[in-house]
Amino acid sequence: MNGNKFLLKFKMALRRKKRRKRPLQKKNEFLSQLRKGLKKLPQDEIDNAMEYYEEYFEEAGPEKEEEAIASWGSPGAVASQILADYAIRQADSEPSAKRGLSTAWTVLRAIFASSVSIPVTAVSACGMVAADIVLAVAILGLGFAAVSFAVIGVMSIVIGFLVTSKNFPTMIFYIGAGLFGAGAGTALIPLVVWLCRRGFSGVSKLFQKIMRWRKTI
Amino acid sequence: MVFQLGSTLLDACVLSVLSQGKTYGYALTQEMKRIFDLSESSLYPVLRRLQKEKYLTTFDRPFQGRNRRYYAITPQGEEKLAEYRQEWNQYRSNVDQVLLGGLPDERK
Repeated sequence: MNGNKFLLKFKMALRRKKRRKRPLQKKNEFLSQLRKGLKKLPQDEIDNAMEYYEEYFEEAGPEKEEEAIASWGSPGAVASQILADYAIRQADSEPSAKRGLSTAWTVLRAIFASSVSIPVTAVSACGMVAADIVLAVAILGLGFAAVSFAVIGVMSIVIGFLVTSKNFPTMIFYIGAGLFGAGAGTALIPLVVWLCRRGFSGVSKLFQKIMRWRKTI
Repeated sequence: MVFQLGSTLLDACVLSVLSQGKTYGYALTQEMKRIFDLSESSLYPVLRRLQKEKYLTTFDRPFQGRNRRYYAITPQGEEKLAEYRQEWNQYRSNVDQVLLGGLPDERK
């Protein structure tokens, strides 16, 4: 009988541990985790987001709370998505390379936070990092090209003028080539600047869209 | 759902629902959810963006002791919606032509 009693107590102890959290707890926990995740945002953004989700819970009623929380994924994932969206909005209104890069970082974190399978997350994250690397290389490459063209162009013009006395066609050639080079170099610069400012946030936007697409399939 | 609703189309649909009358958050998201099987969490960024772009505006009304946030379309929102509708008509007829009608003239 000692054995039976022990078994009974053991079973009851297990049941107590397994007892599920009450819905109200889950809701409050979700909301507080969400608020924590949104900490970095400006206060009006946090308030707006919290209001939206709090209101949902109030309108939906306690029965729907669990279902809703299950369908949204973790509060961390929801927060990351809100952060990513905010970052992209900011990047659009004030384009700069620095903002573009911080947007890229925010979206990358959102990719990791979103509750999809590990291989899909890995592919998305790697894809985005690869795209950003290609972009950075393109910027550097074009930047060097622009500078080289401009410098060599100017040098060529100078040589052209120095050659004057000997040979008129040669002088024309050097000056012409120089002008072409300098012109091409100067023309490339706006492109490089544009890529710098808009490029990274463009990649981020693309991958955020891809993330949204994946979530619905 | 086989075809993905792009974010622009989503904006347009939200604006369209709102142009039929102001409504509160829960009702709006449930309506969108009913038709498109979207999650509330994917709708929040859409609503926030539309608000920031001044296509919709929000205001609060008390209801049964708590607060309800209402969304209403703005005049700029109505304009944008008209643009979207025009674009959609064009887009839809293009897709219909290829998907439903084919292009028999070229084949011949």
